[in-house]
Amino acid sequence: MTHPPRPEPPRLALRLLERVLDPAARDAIVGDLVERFQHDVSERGDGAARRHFWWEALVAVRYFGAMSALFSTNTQGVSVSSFFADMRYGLRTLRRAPAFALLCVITLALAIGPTTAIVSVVDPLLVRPLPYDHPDRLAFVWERDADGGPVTTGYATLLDLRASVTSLSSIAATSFWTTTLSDPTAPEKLEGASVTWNYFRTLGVRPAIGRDFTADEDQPGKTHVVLLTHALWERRFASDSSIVGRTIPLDGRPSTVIGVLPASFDDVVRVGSQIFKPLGYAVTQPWACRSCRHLMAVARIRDGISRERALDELNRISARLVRDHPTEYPAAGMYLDPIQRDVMKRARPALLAILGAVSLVLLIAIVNVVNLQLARAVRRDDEFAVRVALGAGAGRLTQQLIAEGLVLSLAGGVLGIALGRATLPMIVARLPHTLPRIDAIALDWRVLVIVMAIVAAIALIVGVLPARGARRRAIAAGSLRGAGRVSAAGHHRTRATLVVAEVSLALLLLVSAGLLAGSLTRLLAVDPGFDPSDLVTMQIEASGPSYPHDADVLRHRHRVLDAVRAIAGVTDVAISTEIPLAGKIDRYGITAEDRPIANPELAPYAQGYRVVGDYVRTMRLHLVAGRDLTDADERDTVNAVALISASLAKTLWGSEQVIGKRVHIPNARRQWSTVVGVVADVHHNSLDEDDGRAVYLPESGWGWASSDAVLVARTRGNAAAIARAIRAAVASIDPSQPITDIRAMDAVVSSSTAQRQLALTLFAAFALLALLLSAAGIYGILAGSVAERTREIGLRSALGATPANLLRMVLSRGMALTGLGIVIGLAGSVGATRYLGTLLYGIGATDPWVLGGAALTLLAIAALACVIPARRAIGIDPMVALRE
Amino acid sequence: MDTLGDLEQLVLLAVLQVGSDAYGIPVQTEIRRRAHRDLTLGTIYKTLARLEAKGLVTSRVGEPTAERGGRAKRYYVVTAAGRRALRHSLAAIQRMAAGLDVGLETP
Repeated sequence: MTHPPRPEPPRLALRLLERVLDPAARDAIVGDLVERFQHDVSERGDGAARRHFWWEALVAVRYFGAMSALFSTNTQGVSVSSFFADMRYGLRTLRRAPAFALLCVITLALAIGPTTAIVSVVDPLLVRPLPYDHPDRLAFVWERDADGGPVTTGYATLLDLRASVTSLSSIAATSFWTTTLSDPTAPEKLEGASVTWNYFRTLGVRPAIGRDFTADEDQPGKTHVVLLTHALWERRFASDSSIVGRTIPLDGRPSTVIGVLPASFDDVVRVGSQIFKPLGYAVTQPWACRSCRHLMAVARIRDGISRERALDELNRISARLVRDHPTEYPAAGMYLDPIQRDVMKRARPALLAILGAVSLVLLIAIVNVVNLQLARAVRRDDEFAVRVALGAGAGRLTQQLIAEGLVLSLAGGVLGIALGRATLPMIVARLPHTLPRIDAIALDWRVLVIVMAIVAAIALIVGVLPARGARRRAIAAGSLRGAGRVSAAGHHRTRATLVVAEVSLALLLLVSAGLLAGSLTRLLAVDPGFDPSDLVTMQIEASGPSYPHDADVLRHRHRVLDAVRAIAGVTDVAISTEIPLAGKIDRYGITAEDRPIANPELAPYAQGYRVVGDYVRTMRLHLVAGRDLTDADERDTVNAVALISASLAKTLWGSEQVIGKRVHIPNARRQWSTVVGVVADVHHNSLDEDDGRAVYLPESGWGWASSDAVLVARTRGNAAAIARAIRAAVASIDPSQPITDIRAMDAVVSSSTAQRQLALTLFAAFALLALLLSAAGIYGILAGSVAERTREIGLRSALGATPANLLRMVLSRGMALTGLGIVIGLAGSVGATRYLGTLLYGIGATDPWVLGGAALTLLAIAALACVIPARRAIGIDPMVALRE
Repeated sequence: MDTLGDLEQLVLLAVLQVGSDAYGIPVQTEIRRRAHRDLTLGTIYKTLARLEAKGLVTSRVGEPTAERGGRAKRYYVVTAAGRRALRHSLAAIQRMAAGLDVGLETP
């Protein structure tokens, strides 16, 4: 018998209650609330019940919260209960100034919204510890490459490290593994990882159900056991609790599920892994050698030992290994990099820059609200003077303004959090999917606490700053009526300073956005070395029992090519193990026959493409010298041939003629491959950086056939329809094989710049906000000063000032403030935009066009903001003004 | 002796009306049904806590139920002092209303 799912009360409210309610009263109250909620759901529906629950929860927190003891403290007239009275009073006065209140609340919400969203993103990625046991003790172990950079490690080295290192309590390794869940109705390709048996033990993660791998299973031929992630278990196996011990078909062969990892587990080493099997290497296997560097090693540093000391020991071991095996290491030395910093290495600068930008927006918004409060405080001088005269102390006055500030910032905060919640999914959707911890991004308790702290800080700032001036004036005034006429020079200076600050911050954001836009434009204009238009790509596969030999895989490839070629609208088609800019890297050390080197580990690395069909023609690579690969090359079992890229040719032979020379490509079927052609460089890794070294050879010339590959087809006409036809044609060859990742090559290229596009979108949005806010600031100060100087302006026009004079008077004041702000902002941006660093491409941080453009934009917006106050000044009737 | 506040009277009367099953929800329902007043549970518990501090009610922790997510109820009983206080308050009201011919007399 099954129960319908019981409706759950709002989780957040429940957590709030559990956390802050007085423990003596907690069970009775929360229990009642939950019971009432169940009742309300059946009577009044889910929404009403939830709303009611929140209301009840907040009242309960007010009465029984851990802080309720505070409500009765009372010190020197500044007390919590009078604070609530002040908040109520603040609410009333704000209700009488709805335009002012609305402006403040919207301003704050517009800044708190993005702040909430960005903090939600940054917190799990950069701040919150990874979901492992004592993650601060975990580190990646990298070998040192010829260029001094870090490189992955080989199995033999791993065993040596494990045998001799004492400062690491364990060291595990993992390799890529993709597999196909060969479900006859819905075959699915799964991203996974093969791991040494101690991988999860090293991370300190235990399966939620079932058991971990054993050392015995981490041996050749014994690896048909798998662990599933919680998400995969839920999605594909309906959270079946009897899954442990069941066999599932992977690549057509049965594997036994031995356990399910906890829901909190998130693999940051192999991002996106859904399934794990033992690595199962033995040092006798050819791919377990020292120079077979494809394993990522992660280690736990022994408690009480510093990272530096552990690294020292690794370096000593490395020196010994290089001495013992001089031809198998490019360089001595190792890296021991803290895991969290390492996995976020690439994203960190961008995230910090975005966090910086949103902080600027927040700052601008606060400045704006302070400015509005200042203006309002001056108009309320009479009121304050009354209060001082009636005995209100200085603290009391400040308290009242802070209470008002809290009303404003709370309203702005609540609205902002709602806004942040709405925008967060849009930001998450645009994050590069290779980024670890994306699933952990949420607007949770931690974020709410941070945002509420910001809200409280805003309340203090917005309250204290105006209070200082108001108090001084109220006390100085002495008499009630005189209050309004005390000189407010200091107050004007404060406001002007704030507007200048606002303008300079806005300029900083505008310049940053301009630089990022310039970078992206230049980046997308880079010639990738191939023609991405009208190119359809999809991941195809030939694995499982129907493909026991390489010949079977190749036959599948050719049948696919023939079927796709027959489709009207397909002009060229090829299959390659790799395509550029898709995020996969497959590099090999290439040596020239006539340039032997003592240590093959120092051979230049080149990206390998193993192709079937007309790859060069389909991708429109530029053939620089020699000829293309042909079908004859494919069938030739005696001579091995290859194409190399111009950069690889230059690296190996300088400017020499290269056609006919021979190269050694590791894992190729033959010892030597003859270079038959040279093609122009292609950007494989990314548009902004690439050494362009590549080698192309027929798939049949490789040591083994790859079970998965990418089909690329050049199309003419309706690309979407043709893509569907291609998919159908491929599926018709063998419907049991998954077809995934169907994308236009344009989209592949574009998504390779995802991080920059996100940064640009956010910066542009923030800059726009900043522009609006600073325009509002300028407007506010000018409108305020025109209003305060009504009598003076009236006098001036009575004495013969023309509208043009008055216009000039207002404009010049607005422009002077803007100009000063721009000058300061320009000086600041020269220093600050350097932090955009790696996000910039092909553009200097002080690009004059961007700086000038930003300054002009700001000036134009500021001029617009001056117009309304200026027109009001012109419209002042001298007689009315003077009679007042 | 303290006089009872309006809320205190309502809650004490509701506890008496509900009888042996008097915890938050029935008390709230009773007040809604008879007095047409929508009090939040927080308010009711705050009042009960005050009454308990004055010795006008006592409470005991009951059994946890699944419907409440495994949380225990707290049952309240009006003490003799509570009944006495109620009597005083209601009598005061009756005396105040006596003789007013505006439909305020208690039946």
